Formats: sequence, structure tokens, C-alpha cells
Amino acid sequence: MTTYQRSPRAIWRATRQLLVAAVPPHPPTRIGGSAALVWAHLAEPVTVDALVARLADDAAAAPEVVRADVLALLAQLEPLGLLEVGE
Amino acid sequence: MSNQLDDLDEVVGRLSTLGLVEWGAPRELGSALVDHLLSTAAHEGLVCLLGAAADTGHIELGPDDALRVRTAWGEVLARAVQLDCLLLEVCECLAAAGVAARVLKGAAVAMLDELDPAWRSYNDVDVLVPSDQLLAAVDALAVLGLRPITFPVSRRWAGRFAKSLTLQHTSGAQVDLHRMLAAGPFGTRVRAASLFDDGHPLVVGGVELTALSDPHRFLHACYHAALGGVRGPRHRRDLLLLAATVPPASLAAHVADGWSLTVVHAAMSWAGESPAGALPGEWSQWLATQPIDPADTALLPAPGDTFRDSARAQLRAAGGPVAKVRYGAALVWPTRAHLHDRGQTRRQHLLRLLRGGPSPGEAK
Repeated sequence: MTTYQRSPRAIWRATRQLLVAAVPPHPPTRIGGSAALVWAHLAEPVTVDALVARLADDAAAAPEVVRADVLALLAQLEPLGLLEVGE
Repeated sequence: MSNQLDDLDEVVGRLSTLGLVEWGAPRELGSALVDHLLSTAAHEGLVCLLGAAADTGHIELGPDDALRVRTAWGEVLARAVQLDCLLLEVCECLAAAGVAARVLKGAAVAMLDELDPAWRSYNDVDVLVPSDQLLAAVDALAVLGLRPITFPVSRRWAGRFAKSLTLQHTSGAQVDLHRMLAAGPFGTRVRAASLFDDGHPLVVGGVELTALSDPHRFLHACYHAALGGVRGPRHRRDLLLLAATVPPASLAAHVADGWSLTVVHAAMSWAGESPAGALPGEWSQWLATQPIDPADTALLPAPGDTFRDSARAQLRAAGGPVAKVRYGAALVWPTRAHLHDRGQTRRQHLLRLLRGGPSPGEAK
């Protein structure tokens, strides 16, 4: 089962509506929307299913809508070195 | 106009104690006040606090202003992240060169003392190195593309007497490399080695760095507020945050290392001008009962004092003519490289000294 977690090398700040993060030597990336909330759940290794379930619960939203957003965000964070992907 | 300025003062006072005292009902903020707050100097640190107050619902903004505040806050946070990346490089480079380092001010306060790191902005990287290793540190950091922004009056003088040297990175970011925490006689009096006796771990990007210990961070904040020349809401907030964790009774142990409780008194009296309730009760009591040393009070800088005033005070405090000559010679006769960086000829420099006027770009 694939798990996702913040890279321990990430340097970041988060507000309720914005995540600013970088892994040197990449410059800081700013991501709005639910990125900060997702980031908070990535403190520990988590599967996409578990992440979607928690976020859907937090936002009282449909899991299928949340899943699309989560997958898009993970795809944005991973190439920047901001995620650790485990099996 | 005066009503608007009164409003501005009131909002600034409340932002500087955000999360430290009861806020009360949400406060609406119009575009004119938002303009004022967003245009304040970076060292005031108000953009982050305004963003945080809006984020937590304490301040209510119209949609356009909310977007402007979020954007400005995001820029400040991107800057902080960028500076933390540089801090990490600086500390790793110093460690590789065998130079011990302590993270100071912005990054340390943001991550160790502020209620949320995103509430604290900073504009440069501040690192303390052992007082006899400033030049070794400057040389080591050259590999990162860090160069002194202004060549010192002389390398030897900088290594023996300077409070700090400011280095500039190719990206434009600045690193303040400190060998002391304050200029002038108060800075010289503190036993610098004691700052390396202990420390507080600070993890940046998965790497454990070391900040000053809690009491030393508090004392540094006091010295910066009372002696640093520039102070504003962010400096006051730093004092209030640290005062909540450092009790007055713990300071007596640091007097033997040269710290002046008169400087602490001056800083905390200023911090105590905050909205009621922001200063912990034990600190109010300490301010009312702590004796003040008149000799130290006479050494406190007046508002607007420059490096020249601090240097004069240092010269007066230097013991004996040899020490005075050692301290003053390079200030009177600086290197050509220093004069070049300041855009001065030697004649202009000497004439300014004789007239007592400030040198262009005078600092630290």
C-alpha cells in the first residue's frame, strides 16, 4: 500500500488558505486552496484512501470530489521533493 | 486623518498582542487602514500579524482587501522559507569549517516562541559565531557566494571589535554574522562564550540546528529592543512572547556573565506599554521593584543614536590609552576597501570625523 508523508527536508509555512514550502535547492512554492489542510494530514505516513476519508470528513464533502483534488495536489508536491512516498 | 491614525495605532497595538490577550469582538478594517498596514516597514512585522488576525476571524476584511492581505502574507512567508533554506546552508557550511553557530532572532523566534511560525516575518538570516571566529566564518561562507556588503574598517578590527558583519548572497538575501549580541559597552560586557554553553535545538529542513537558550533569547530580545536603534511592534511582541516563558527570577544567574538588568528593565518597560494584560503579572511586579543602576542608565542610547554614538561610548568604556588606540585607530584610518565601499575618499572621511557628521551608510 503506497503511503505519502511530508519530506522531513521540507521547509514550510502554512496558513489556513496557503501552503508555502520548499526543499532546497528548489525555490518556495505557494499553493492555495486545501493544500495547507492536506499538508497537516501528511505529518505521518498516510494512504490516499485514508487521506481522502479524513479530508472528506473535515470538509463534509463527497469523497470522490476530494480524491480528485488530493491526487492533483500530491502530483504537484511530489516532483518538488516535498513528499516521501513509501510502500 | 487623526481619527484614522488613532485607529491605526489601536490596530497596531492589538496586532502586536494577537493571541496574547483577549481580542473581543471581530473588528472590521477598511481599505485605507489595510493600505497603511501593508505599507509599513518590513521590520514592523505587521503583514503576518494582519494575515493571521484575518485568518483567525479577529479582523474582518472586504473580499478585495482579504485577497491583498493573503497575497502580501504569502510573499512574506515565501521570503521566510527562502531565508530558512539559506540559514540551513550557512549552518552546514560553518559546521563543515568547524565553526560553532547559534541561530538568532527571526527563524528562532518564529519556530520556538511565536504562536505559529507563519505569524513571524524576518528579512535576513542572523547567526552568532564564537567571538574569535568571525573572520574564519566569513571566509568559510564565501563558497556560498556570501560577501561582506561593506568591507569592514579593517579585518583585524572586525575580528576584535565588530558586533557583526553583514554578508550578501548572490540572490540578494543578507546574512548578519554576529560575534556579539549588541554593540557598544553593553555588548562587550557580555561573556560571549556563555552563549555557547547551552542552547535550544531548532529543526530546519530535518536538520537539527541550535538556537540560543530560552533566557539568552529573551536577553537578546531585550538588548535588541533597548539598544538596537530600531524597534517596533514585532520587537515588542518578541519580548512579550519570551517574557511568558522566562521568569524574572531566572535572570539573576546571568548577571555574572555581564548582562545588565537595567537594559532588561528599559526593554520591558517599553514592552509594558502594550495593551493591558499583555505583560505577565510577575514582570509588572519585577519592573516596579527592580533597582536600576544609574551608571548603566547613563550608557543607554538615546533614540536616533548611530554607530558613531555607540563607538564613542565604547571608546569611553575602553580601559586605558592602549585599548582606546586599538579600538579607535581603524575607525579614524579605515582601509581603502572600506572607504571605496562607502563611496568616500579618505579626505571626506576625515573631514566628516572632524565635523562630527554621520558617514553615509553608517551602520553597526
